[in-house]
Amino acid sequence: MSSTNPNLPDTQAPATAPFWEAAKRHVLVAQRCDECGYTRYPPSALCPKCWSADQSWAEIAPTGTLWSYVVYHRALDPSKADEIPYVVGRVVTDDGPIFTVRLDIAPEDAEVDMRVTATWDDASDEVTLVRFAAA
Amino acid sequence: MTADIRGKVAIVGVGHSDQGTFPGTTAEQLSIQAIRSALGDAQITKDDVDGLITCKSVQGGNIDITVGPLFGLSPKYAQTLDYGTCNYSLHLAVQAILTGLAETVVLVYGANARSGKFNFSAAAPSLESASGFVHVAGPAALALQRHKALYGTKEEDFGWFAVSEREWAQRNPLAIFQKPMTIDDYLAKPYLVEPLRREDVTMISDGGVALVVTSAERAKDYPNKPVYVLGMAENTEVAGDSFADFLMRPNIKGTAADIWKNTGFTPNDIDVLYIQNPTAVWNLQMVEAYGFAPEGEGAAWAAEGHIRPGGDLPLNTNGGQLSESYMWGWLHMVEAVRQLRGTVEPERQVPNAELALYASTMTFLKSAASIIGVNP
Repeated sequence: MSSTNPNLPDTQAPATAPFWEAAKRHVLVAQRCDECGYTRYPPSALCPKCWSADQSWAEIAPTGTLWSYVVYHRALDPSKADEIPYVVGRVVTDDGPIFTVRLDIAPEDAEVDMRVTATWDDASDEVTLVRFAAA
Repeated sequence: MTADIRGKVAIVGVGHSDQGTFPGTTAEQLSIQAIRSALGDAQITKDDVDGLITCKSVQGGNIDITVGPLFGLSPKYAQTLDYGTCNYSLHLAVQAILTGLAETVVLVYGANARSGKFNFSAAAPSLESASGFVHVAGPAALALQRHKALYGTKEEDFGWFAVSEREWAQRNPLAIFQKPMTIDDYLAKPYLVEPLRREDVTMISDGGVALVVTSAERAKDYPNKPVYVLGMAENTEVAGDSFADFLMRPNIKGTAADIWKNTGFTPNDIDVLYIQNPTAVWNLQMVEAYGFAPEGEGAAWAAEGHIRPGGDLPLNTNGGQLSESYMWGWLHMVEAVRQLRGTVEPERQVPNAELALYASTMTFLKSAASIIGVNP
């Protein structure tokens, strides 16, 4: 599923570039601390557990549990007006990182705590956005 | 264990500007209007003030050194809090007074978010914003949806937070939204971010609010009945969103436990309750966290009518942020003080109100509470 999506993120920003590069390949990654192994998203300069600055981007399980979901009925971001209504969900992935992104699930089919798996929205030539659908 | 602060500091003046839309009026000007009003209420002049604590406006202005030049006086103590919600500002004033840094402190908030057309959906482009996850209604609605799933919370119950605030607002001349709204009217409204409706989310308005706070000893010399600070508590989640239940804001339970422990009061002792509320989800989460309603039953409890005019625990008798004005909770505190003084319009005066709890949060990252009362 694709969309015309203005206000897309800068995929070249050093802190997040590896995330977007992997997304383009439809692979879900997060930062993993080289010292203690804690896996985190969004990225940060230091590990919040052990303060190590050594980290790598690691592939994580593209599966998780839907903590909750909502339906945007009003274009609170005017650039999304033609996508209303759309569904956004908070997904706790099986490796820990949490993503709050678009769901490819109809509101009537969404259920709190349902199992979900990543899908990919090639929003532009540069940007691919992760979404989640029923597993 | 916190030091015993009970009854050592009192609120002796409250004031505010008009509330609404004031194009061309800065946050700082609105702050001065509010300070003038609060000093008038306390019957003192700015020369009697030796402390100034400003609360930064949502757009980033209204700091001590931008309010100062209009205040026209340099008190020995001046500070700015990023997100006062009045609770943090009051707590800082208590600390300043009890440590001798200042004796009489003015606390103030001013904002022109409405006429300044502040964009509450603005965010640096990120995965989340590109996904359309914008505005506080988003995370609030996520929390409500999960609450519904876990506890079977019904919208016809949850709607009573907004409906009750509207009932109170109809009794408050200052309130911006006074049009009658029944629970059926509420349920007929369209969703904003489902399961939240527009009526569950704060309005945006311009205005200023100020308090005058001093030591209990000095408070005796003021014309108004002093309203004493009897307890305060805070808790945070500043490490941020890194665990599944973050949006349920478990830190509020810590603040609740502390305020009851620090004061020895229980929820049954509270006569009037104030909850700062950018959305009605804050009301739901806090009536449960503070123990007024059992966990998971906050909405059903609200639907029983406790919080309405005539109920046994009036909540946000000013109309709250859903119906009165958008002052980050500051007008909640003003209303609490006036209720305890017994000086609001008769149609919304709660009889014999002696003890109030004011609970607020800084988004999902911090929580704070104050208990104030007429007996030190």
